[in-house]
Amino acid sequence: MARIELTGLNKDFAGRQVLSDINLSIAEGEFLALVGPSGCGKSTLLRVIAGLEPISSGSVAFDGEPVDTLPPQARNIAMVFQSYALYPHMKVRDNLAFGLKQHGLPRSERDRRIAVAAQALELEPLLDRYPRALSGGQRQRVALGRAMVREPRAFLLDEPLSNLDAQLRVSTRLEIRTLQKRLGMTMIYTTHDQVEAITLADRIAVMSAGRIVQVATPLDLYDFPANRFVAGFIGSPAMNFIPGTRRADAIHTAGGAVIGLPEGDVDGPDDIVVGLRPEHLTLDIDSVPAAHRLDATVRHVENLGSEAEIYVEAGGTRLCLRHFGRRLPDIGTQVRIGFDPARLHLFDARSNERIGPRHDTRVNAS
Amino acid sequence: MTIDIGLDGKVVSEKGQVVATERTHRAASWLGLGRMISALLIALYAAFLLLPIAFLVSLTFKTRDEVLLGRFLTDKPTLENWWKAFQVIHLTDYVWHSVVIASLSAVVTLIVAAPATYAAVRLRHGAFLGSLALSSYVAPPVVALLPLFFLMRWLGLLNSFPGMILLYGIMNVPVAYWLLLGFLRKIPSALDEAAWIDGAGFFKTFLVIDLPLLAPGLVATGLICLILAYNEFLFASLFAQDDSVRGLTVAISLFQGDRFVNFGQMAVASLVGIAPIYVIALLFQDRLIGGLTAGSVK
Repeated sequence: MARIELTGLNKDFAGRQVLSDINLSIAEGEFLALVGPSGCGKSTLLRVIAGLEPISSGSVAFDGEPVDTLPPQARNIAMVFQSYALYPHMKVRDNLAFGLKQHGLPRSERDRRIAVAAQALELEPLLDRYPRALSGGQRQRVALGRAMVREPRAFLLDEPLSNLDAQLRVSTRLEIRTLQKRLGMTMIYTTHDQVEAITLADRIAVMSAGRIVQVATPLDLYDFPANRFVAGFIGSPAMNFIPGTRRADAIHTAGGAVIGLPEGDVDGPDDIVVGLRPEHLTLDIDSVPAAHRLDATVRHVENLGSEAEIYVEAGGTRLCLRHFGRRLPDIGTQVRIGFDPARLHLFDARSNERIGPRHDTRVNAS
Repeated sequence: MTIDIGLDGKVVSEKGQVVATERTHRAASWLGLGRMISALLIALYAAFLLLPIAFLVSLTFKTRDEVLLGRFLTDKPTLENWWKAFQVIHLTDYVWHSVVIASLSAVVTLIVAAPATYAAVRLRHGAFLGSLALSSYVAPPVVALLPLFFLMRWLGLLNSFPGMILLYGIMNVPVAYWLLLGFLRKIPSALDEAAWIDGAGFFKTFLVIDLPLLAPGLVATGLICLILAYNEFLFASLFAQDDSVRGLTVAISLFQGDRFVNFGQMAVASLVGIAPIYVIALLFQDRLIGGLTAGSVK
């Protein structure tokens, strides 16, 4: 397995900048997820690493050796395509064997590796079938198997679960993670599903418009989003944003609400956007001091069974909160919602950058 | 609203209005009418296409005098044309020459065009060459006649099978390139990329992945090139005059005498000439049906 380094990577496509100044280092055996909305460049970045797309400038290195000039055949990486890309005229067994044959492995070794992969992915009964006779989930497993048998320097997976149904997605997610850990694979995984990224990855690189916006562990990304884009992208339902102006130790929102800031907060600009996650807002406000409450009107309630998403209007802003109680407020009623000031996120209204700590200092200190 | 379903199958509301079936009936009758019209149009079109063949068939049973009367059917059918056509010229030999030249030239065309298409589509190299080659089709073929004549004489390829095979084989490459372009673009490029990542070289990927999937396209393209070469007259009339290589199109022209044309025998030769192409097309029609890539992606 290899360590992958991307330095100052740029890619233009017909005059359009698809990737801008990508700097990223993926450690040996690390699972890195590339997330971002459609068209943010994550698949292109993966293809650049695979050698399927030429780069305009910068460098790609495996274990310190530059590979930018090498064709995909010479990079010894494995890739799982979003469309699976199984060879339709070959049986599953031959699909798995194809890469091994190209690397000149003897038949006995090929058979051994195919047997191991087939067992791990429960492909044994399917080995003599053609891809057209397989279900979506089975094809996906064959695509994974084709990568696994290779023992490559790194695994690249391009939205491999996006064609699976919800149940299969969860179980395959678990399988991928277990395999990756057990075999110590260096894995880069693109997805637009942040839940997938958070549950799978050691670190997540959030991309937007061809740039890497933040690289961090899933928890750091959740707790210390570097800017409003990351804050809004990570977490579901998305973080609430309330624009306001800072005066003394409080933020006054446009709608007249006052949000008390935690004590000893850092200095910063006056125009501020406050970020509050739905799960950090509560209807149960007895324990919350007055400065950390907001008056709100219930506009909409979505009951999800285990919890409810309550949409309220507070100070001219629509907010969402996750509620775990069984008794739900009626639409139109006045409620008071409370928040934990330690869970507040502050962003500069102009630059959208985060104000305050960038990572968990308490954890790092211990 | 209560509705009644009458014995006649009409759905009638409480106000006595026919609700559903009238509309359905009307739709059905329109559909029926539409079908009839389209069937009629197709029949007309088929008749239009088949009429020349039918006329050709009837010609073969007519005497020379009857041909000049211009009637479709004959009163006194004769088989004279059929045995004379084979007596006057070596018809079977010429048909055989045409079949050999046309089919081998189609193979040459595919050998050149298929890798060229692959390079242009998958490796994004030299796509402009395809447009450039096709642009030569803008000029009438007669423009190339003289230069080609001298070139072939210089190469010693006049009146030879290799000469004609090479000539048609290369001549049809642009056509094949543009036909194969469409077929190759239908094969997902992710298959090639997967093979490259699996370690297969570009040429091997072309041979092992694309070529098998391209088979229906190759058959269709090959057939079209074969027909083009089989039917070619201009170059054949100049470069393949010798009896040993003469093909069908030139042979048919041999029935033209100094004072009259043997239309009946010419018709026999034409019908005999059409036959091999029909047989080949029938043999390959199963291979023309696509769907080989099913199951590869999603």
